[in-house]
Amino acid sequence: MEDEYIIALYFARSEQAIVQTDLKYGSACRKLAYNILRNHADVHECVNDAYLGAWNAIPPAKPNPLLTFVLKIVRNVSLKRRQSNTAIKRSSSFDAAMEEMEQCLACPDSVHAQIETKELAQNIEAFLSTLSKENRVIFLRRYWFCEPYADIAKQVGITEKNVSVRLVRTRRQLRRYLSERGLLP
Amino acid sequence: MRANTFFHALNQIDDAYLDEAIHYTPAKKRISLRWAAAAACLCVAACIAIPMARQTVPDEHMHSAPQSMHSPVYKVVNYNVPASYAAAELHIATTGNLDAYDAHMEKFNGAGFAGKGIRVFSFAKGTDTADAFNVWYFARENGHIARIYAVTESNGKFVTAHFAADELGRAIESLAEKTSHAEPMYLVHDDEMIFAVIGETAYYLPGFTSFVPQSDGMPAIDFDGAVTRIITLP
Repeated sequence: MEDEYIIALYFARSEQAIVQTDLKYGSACRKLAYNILRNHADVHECVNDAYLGAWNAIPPAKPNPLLTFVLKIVRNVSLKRRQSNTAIKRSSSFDAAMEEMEQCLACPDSVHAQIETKELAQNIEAFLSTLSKENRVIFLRRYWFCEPYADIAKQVGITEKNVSVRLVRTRRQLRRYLSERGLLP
Repeated sequence: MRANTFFHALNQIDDAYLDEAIHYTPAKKRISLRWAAAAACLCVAACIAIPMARQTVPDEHMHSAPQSMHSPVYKVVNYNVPASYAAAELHIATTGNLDAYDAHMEKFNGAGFAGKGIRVFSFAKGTDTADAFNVWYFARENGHIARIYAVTESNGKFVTAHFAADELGRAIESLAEKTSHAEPMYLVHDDEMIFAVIGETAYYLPGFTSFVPQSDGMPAIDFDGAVTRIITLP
């Protein structure tokens, strides 16, 4: 079903909207949540919470495309769930992705921890625009979708080793980029 | 900065970047000259051999079902997504009989609904051709599809939305004139199969991987890994 029609169902307050959203994008939502949480029960709850979030946001929101809109909600809900769920073992793709970023961005000066998320987002976006399309896709697949190297390698059509090397370089570039703009020491 | 801050900030980046990551397909690798030459030879040989084989062995079952998307070339049309939908207040018949449904639409919703429209049946889970209320009704003006009314059932209530048919209407009309059970056509948007149009009925296929025929003469279609050809209507 087309996104426009699904959104029309949201506007019409038809519960079919959620059914159709799940039919079309459920697997992508569950995959993303699972990459972060590694717990099927949590995944189920988070994806349902995300659908509720979409239900509350549309209308007035009229997202285009619908998939990224829903995935953003799934990611937000999953990140929050993960933070509050301290019992989860550190074994997910998200943990691995997080550790890589900790080493890249670690900074003893707590002042930098106060940087506005929005300002940081703008800088990340500007940084992404400096990357090649392929490196940008690899970076986002890893740090937005929290996918394992094997999946990224398969999608981009390169080896896992190549993915790993490119990510090391991109993280180094990111660190330099943020440092130059005073966001890192 | 904590990595956590980074991951939250990352959620605010432009949708276009995410869309790019979702739909990314790697560029095709260059083929060496030797392989290209071999492939070219094979193509030339096939071009000569296939017509010869067809001349010597007549195909008596050209349109026999079931057929697969992989072998015959199906006619496919693409169209532009309508700009917007609006909620519609319609008097909707509470009957599963399509003739009664048509008569009701004409009587209670005006002359624009005169005549039978092409119906689009959804093959979502739990629906079938008998589910007359999961139907798209095509209202005509001057003999052409002018507006499309989507009627769905939700919690015992019928919800409708409508939009100007535009290219989609013209595409469906064009398809309806040319199709038959023996030669269905398919409507594609963004590489996604939307409708299989067969005569006066368009079968809508959400979330499909295969299409199971609901009446005799309709081909079974395996969409898994299917390569579709897109023809833009003039």
